[in-house]
Amino acid sequence: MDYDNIQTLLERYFEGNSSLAEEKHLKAYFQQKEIDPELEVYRSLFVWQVEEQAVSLSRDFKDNLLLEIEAEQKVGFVRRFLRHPMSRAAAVLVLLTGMWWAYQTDTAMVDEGVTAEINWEQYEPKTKEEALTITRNAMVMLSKELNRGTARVAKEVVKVRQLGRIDQ
Amino acid sequence: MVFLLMGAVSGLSAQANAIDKYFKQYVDDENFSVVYVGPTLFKWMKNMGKEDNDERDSETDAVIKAVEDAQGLRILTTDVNPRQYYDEAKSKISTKEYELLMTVRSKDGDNVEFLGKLKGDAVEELLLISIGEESFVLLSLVGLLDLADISKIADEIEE
Repeated sequence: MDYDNIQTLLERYFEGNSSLAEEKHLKAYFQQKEIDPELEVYRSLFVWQVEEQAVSLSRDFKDNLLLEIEAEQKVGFVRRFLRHPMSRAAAVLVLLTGMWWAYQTDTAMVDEGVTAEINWEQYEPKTKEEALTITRNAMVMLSKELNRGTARVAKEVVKVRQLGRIDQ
Repeated sequence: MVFLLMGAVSGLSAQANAIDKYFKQYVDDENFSVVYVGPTLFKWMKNMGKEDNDERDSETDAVIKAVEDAQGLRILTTDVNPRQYYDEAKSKISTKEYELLMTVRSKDGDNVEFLGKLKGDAVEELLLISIGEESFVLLSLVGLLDLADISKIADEIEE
């Protein structure tokens, strides 16, 4: 294809009057290794077009795009939901209910689960009177020991004070 | 975040008595005598305290007052190798969890230790570890306890 012919096709191309067949000719011309040096300036334009046409989307592009859109929609929903004060209050309520539930479940585990490991009930006195006697004896012992310790501490404090006075 | 908060709540609420925690094996040990007074019996005692009963002595009244908010009393005793069990018990209890409130030591080798699981000024669990010449005693009293009320019981006996 000679220079004049290409020049004519280029003019038609830039005026927007070229046909698809003529544009195909131009692309084919500029794909050649050696072209008229004066037309070299247009090469990148037509080579770029050919290269871009060769670029295709990956097979999973559509799936990935749909997944991203879905994720975006989910985030969007949460943000839209929390935008309203009532929704925020509801979310806090759900959170507190969850915490209360966790606390209750755990307390039940402590009360029933731990004691279930050791069946403490089998060690309970058979009668209320027996329970009272055991409790009274235990509490008397606790009280006496507690007072014995307190009395000793008080005695030591008095001794220390007396020593302090002597030193002075 | 919800799960973290739930975990925190869960962690705070997870409390057991010292015997369940450290001395589970003693309960099944044939050398030990075990006694337990549970919440139902304490509730009965509390209700008994509200009733007008002229026959009841002041000592019983003081006991009922002291255990008003108690939830469980567990007593383990043995007269077999008391020293060994005493040393073992002392090494097992976490001093981070149970604060040593008082030690009473006698010249004849008797030893009594009061440990408490504290929550602010209140005692949530009082633990007594005692060794005498012939026996070892482990006592755990769980509930909101007032040491002053416990102390008053001995005063009632003396009167």
